[in-house]
Order: sequence, then C-alpha cells, then structure tokens
Amino acid sequence: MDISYPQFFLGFVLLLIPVYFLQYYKTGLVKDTLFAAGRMTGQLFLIGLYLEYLFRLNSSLINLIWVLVMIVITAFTVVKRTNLSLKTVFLPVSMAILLSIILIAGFFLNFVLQLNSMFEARYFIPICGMILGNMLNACVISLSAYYSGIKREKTLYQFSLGNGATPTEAQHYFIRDALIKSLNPTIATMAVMGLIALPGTMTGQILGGSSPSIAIKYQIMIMIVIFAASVISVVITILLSSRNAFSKSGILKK
Amino acid sequence: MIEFQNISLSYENKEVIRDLSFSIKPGESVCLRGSSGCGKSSVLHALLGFITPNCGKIFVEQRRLDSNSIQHIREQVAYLPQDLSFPFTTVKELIDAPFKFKANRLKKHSTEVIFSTFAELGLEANIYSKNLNEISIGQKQRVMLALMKLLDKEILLLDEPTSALDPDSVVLVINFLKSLSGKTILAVSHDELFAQHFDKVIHIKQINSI
Repeated sequence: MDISYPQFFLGFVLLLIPVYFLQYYKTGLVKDTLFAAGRMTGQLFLIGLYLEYLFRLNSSLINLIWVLVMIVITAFTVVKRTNLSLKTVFLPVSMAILLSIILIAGFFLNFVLQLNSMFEARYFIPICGMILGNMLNACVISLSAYYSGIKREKTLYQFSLGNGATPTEAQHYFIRDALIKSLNPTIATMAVMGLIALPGTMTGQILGGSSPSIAIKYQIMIMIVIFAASVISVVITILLSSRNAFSKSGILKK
Repeated sequence: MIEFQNISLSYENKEVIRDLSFSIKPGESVCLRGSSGCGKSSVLHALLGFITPNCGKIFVEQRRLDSNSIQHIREQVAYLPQDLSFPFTTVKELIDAPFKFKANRLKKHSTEVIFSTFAELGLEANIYSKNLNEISIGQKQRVMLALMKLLDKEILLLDEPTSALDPDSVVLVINFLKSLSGKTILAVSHDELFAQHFDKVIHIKQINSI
C-alpha cells in the first residue's frame, strides 16, 4: 500500500508531541529536531529519486560506481569519527570494506540468492548499503577501541614487546578487545531479534507486501551477512591500518 | 655485551640524556641511579627500541640496535617495567602472558617450578591463583621478578624493581638476583641498599655525560 502525500504529511503531525515536550523542558533541541527531520526527509527523497532512476537504468557499471562512491564516503566518515589521520585510516578502511563487499555480498548475491547478475540494482545497492552502514559503525568502534587501548595500556604493550613478543603478538590483545567492543552490539541485537523488536528489513518488507515467512528469511540472511562483513572489515581495517600506524619496531607513531 | 656510545635521548620532546656512553660486559650487573625524571627509564626504553636516540649508537652482542635487529634483541631480554598496572585478572594470567609469545613458548614451566621460584622471593604458592587486585604492589613486584627468572633470558632489564619493598624483601631480591649467575642485569633504582650490590653503579644527572 502506497502512502499518499496528504497521509504522509499527516504522519508529521506526530512530531508535534516530542517538539512540545522538548520545548516544555527547555532542552534547546526543538530547532535541531526540526532541522534533522527536515534534512532526513530531503535526503531520503533525493536518494529515493536517485535509486528509482538507478533501478530503472539497472546498469551494472553505474551500480558498481555507486557502491564504490558509498565505500569512499564510508571511509571518509570513519576517518572523521575516529579522529585518526587520513593517511593511517583511509586506504585501510576502503580496502577492508571493498574486500568485505566482494567476499560477503558477492557470496550472498551469487550463491545464496543465485541472481543472474549480482549487480542487479534492487539487490546489489540495498544489500551493499546495509552492509556499509553496519561496517561503518563496527570500524569506528573497533579503530577507536584499538588505538585508544594501545595508548591507555601502553605498559602492557611495552611489557609484551620487551619480553620477546613480535609487534603482531603484542597487538593481539588489543585486536581482541576491539573485536569484542565492536561486535557486541550486533551479537546482542541478533540474540533478541524478534523478541524485543521487529527488525527494519523484515518490517519494511512486510509493510511493502511480502509474506512474513519470506521477510523473516531475508532478515536472518541480512543479519548473518552484516555480521560476517563486520568481522572481516574490522580485522582487515585494523591489520592494514597498523602497517601505517606503527614503526618497523612496533612503536605507535604520533 | 651492551654498549651505549654517545647516546642522547628525548622524552616528550625534552632532551633528558645527553652524550651517555657506557658498556656492560656479559654477566655483569649495572644499576642506573639518579633523581626522578633524569631519564633513567628512557635508557631502558632506548635499549628496547621504544624510543629512538637523537644521536649515538647502541650495540647488543655486537649488533647495532636498529629496526632490523630490535626483534632479535628483544628476544634476548626479560623486561620488568616500573608501572605494573596490567589489565590481567589473576597472577596466573600475568605469569602465563609472555609464554604465549613464540619467542618464549618452549620455556613454559610446571607449577612446581613456578612455586619454587616464588618461594625464593618469599611468596607463598597460593598467590598464583589470586586476583591481582588482592595482592600488594610489593608482592606484584616479586611476582614480576619471579617471572624474569622463569623467562630465562640472557639480559634482565629491571625498572625500579624494589620501589615498593620493605628492607627485608629488598635483601631477598638482592640474594635472588645474585643467584642468577651469568645473567647480564641492567636495573634502574632509587634504592641505595639495592644499588650497592651491583658490580657497577652509573649516576645519571638531569643532563649527563659519563
């Protein structure tokens, strides 16, 4: 069932309730809320128009370029949100995400969904988009945890190096810690899925007219794809960025 | 043989050691003394490749210390840092940690050997299964010294190993280190009683040349 524009704008009436409370308690968030809601609406409409055009065109090359652009934007966002240097993080994150997409999205679209072309717009773009969004969060959390961990636990790192560990061995503890911190939220979400909340993909598909049994299968697959892609991107990002971030003697460059 | 030739070191962009030269023969024990912040620990850090000298050369067993030789040198060393705040839960985890590295994997000891080494330092066997937050800093220092022996390396680098120990425990540690005959020991210490038992004492002033 489509939402007509009058119905659509009627939905915005709900925003009056949070706006009232935010104003009543003088949170100063009213302007931000209205700006964020307006921006979200504008951005999604533009993307919607663009995707509609992409889907109609359905050119493998253009779809691929679109995903590559999304990868570059994701890598820039990781750099910005981790406050790490562009030189240390940009290429490793881009490479890690590209490799995860090739491996995981490639496997899912080619072998699980068995599409004639994995670059078919209505599958390739949303699946890659979903993976990228989750990889972005996982990379930001893991890189922050990894580098702040090595700075915070400098004693442990130096103790390990000073007692014969190779730099890779000394970094092992910190990679483990970064993996735990970045993947815990996804594991927790997976564990309660369907009990506490109905996940977005499934809800969207059901609202869009799919049967719940198909929607559930897609949701489960999406979660597995997201999780596998996040693990691969986190590990590769950390390993590749370490090559730039540490000296040959294993010391973190400033 | 460890040799420092005209070494200058900086810590946090401030020069702390200038034109330092000394040598340590195999099996010799040397103690670095000096006021706080004079750069004693930086000497150990330079030897481990944690900081790069502004100028000068460091040799260990005739090999010049650089990014190519540093791993080989680190594998000859047991290092006790000054700060012992490790994110491990138990003493066992702390003792086990360095034996997970490829360089030490074949040197893993039975609990009997660990307990007898503990006994040499006046530690009871049950400390092995205790949480690190249940033991005192002095006990932690002695656990670390036991670990230094268990690692069985040719060179021991000890940064303030007795700073939290009472005089009786310091004597235990002195006898313990004397029993490690043949090992080259480079220690940093404020403790006069401890320092006088070393073959050589090097005094480091704020900016020093020996």
